[in-house]
Amino acid sequence: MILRVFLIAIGTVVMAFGGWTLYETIPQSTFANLGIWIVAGVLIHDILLAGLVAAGGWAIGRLIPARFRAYVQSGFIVAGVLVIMAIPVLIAGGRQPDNPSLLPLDYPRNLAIVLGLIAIGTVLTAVVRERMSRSSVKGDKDPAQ
Amino acid sequence: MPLLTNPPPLLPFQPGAFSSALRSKRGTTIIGISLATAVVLCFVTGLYSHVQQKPVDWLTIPPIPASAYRVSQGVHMIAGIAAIPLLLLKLWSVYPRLWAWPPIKSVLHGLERLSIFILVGAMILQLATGMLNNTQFYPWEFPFVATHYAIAFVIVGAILVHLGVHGSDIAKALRRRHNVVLPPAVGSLDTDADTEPDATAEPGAVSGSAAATSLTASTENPRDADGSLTRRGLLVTGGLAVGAVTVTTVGQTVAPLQDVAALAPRIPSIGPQNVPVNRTAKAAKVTPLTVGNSYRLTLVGAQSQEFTLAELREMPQTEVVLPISCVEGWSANAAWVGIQMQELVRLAGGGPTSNVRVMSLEDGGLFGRSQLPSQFANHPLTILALQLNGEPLDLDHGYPARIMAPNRPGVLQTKWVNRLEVT
Repeated sequence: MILRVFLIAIGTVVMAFGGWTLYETIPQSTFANLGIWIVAGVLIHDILLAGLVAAGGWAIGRLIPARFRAYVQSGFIVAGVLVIMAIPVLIAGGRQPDNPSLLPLDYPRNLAIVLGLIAIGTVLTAVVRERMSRSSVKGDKDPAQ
Repeated sequence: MPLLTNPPPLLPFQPGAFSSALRSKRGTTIIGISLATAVVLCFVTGLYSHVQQKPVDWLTIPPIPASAYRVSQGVHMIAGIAAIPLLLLKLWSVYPRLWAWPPIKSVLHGLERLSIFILVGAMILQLATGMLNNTQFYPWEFPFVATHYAIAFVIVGAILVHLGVHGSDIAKALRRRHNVVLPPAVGSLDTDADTEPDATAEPGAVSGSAAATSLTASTENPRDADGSLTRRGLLVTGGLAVGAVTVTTVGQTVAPLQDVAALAPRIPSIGPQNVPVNRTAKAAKVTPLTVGNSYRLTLVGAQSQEFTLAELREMPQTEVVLPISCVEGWSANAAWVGIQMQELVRLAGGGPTSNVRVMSLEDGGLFGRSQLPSQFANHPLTILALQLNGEPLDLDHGYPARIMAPNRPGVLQTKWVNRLEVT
């Protein structure tokens, strides 16, 4: 209990230091813009992304046979995370004609390749593991067992 | 408060609106600890980068190991990128709590929810702007570096508060063991059998579709009745997601993996003379004219003197292999040839305790000047480089002369150097 109170107290002080540093070091004219970014980030996650995940989960539940469902969920989670991570390089808003070393790759093409590999990996894993689990059920009569 | 006794008639507020079997306190705790570890790595390496660029009196930064900054900033980026899937999983695992009813039970509960809002908002902001910074894209008004620095403390503080508030839940979740073994369900990735009830769990329903699936779910094994991922399967998936974002980006600092760095903003071997550039000559307003025949290096000290580029090339040359390590996480090793700073300090009448102030043809600004404290100025690996990978420096790499010193962020490896003040 004492440890927990201590953590809360220290944490509050550290947060206050961060807030104070922010207040002191960034122009006051940018506070509103920063606030918009923070609130927008939370809303984009809590409403938009959460809604997409729920809809995706519902669709997978409807469309994918139960024995493959877990693999498809897993594949979509990995793919979705990669797409989110890749948003900045896909936008490539910082690209400058005089600096070809910044953002040098064809990111939409690369992302498509990576997503394709994930799809192939998902299907292979699902099929192979499904076969294995079926043959192990039959394996009860297998003399080798 | 009669209005608050019943939740609003919206789906997320209804009991059973959220999938039950996958969310568990133990899973949330494991994901949370992983995320907190990533945050701590980012915080420590971020502070190291901060004191490199804004030195403090009480800390002397050593010039060796030469790759310390490269490794530190590489870890900063690896941990930060890994934090993206970890944060998403963490938020997913506690998502039903967002819709808890009543929304605020007491003043303390309200403060706790406020701290969670700050933590979540700060984390999303930090990762989103950090990733955009790596691509040099700033679609906002606030200054990136100052905000990134301050927000880091807000995050660490909010995590400490969070640990304090949920300390006993975390301890309990970590002690929990799988005591009950159920037969494996069809289609599950493994036989994880964590069946203890949870506060977040709402048995008998599946995400987003309570009405459609509650009938089937209630008559079957609630754990993974419909063949969905198990809890262990979800953690494995989280690990795969961390692996995927790492593999596709880590090649920006780990050169042997650059061929699979499909989504990295930088590739260590792509750039003029096969080394990336952060700030180009054009951005610095340095033209071939300004570094032409009129170029002189001015050495200021007890014995001030001037050198032409030809004279600099006549002086004893030293080759060093040092990384360019950018604050944005990419790094590239290269062979640099030039004059040891020790020698230039000696020519200016200085000694082992002399500091050097470096000035560039680029006027002012963050990149236009830097300080070499004596431990760097006097280190044999610190040179005024004239060549990169066997050729005269490309204009974008700082032709005719730039600083290369061990264990320094790229921003301090000043380019287009035309003046050294030895003090």
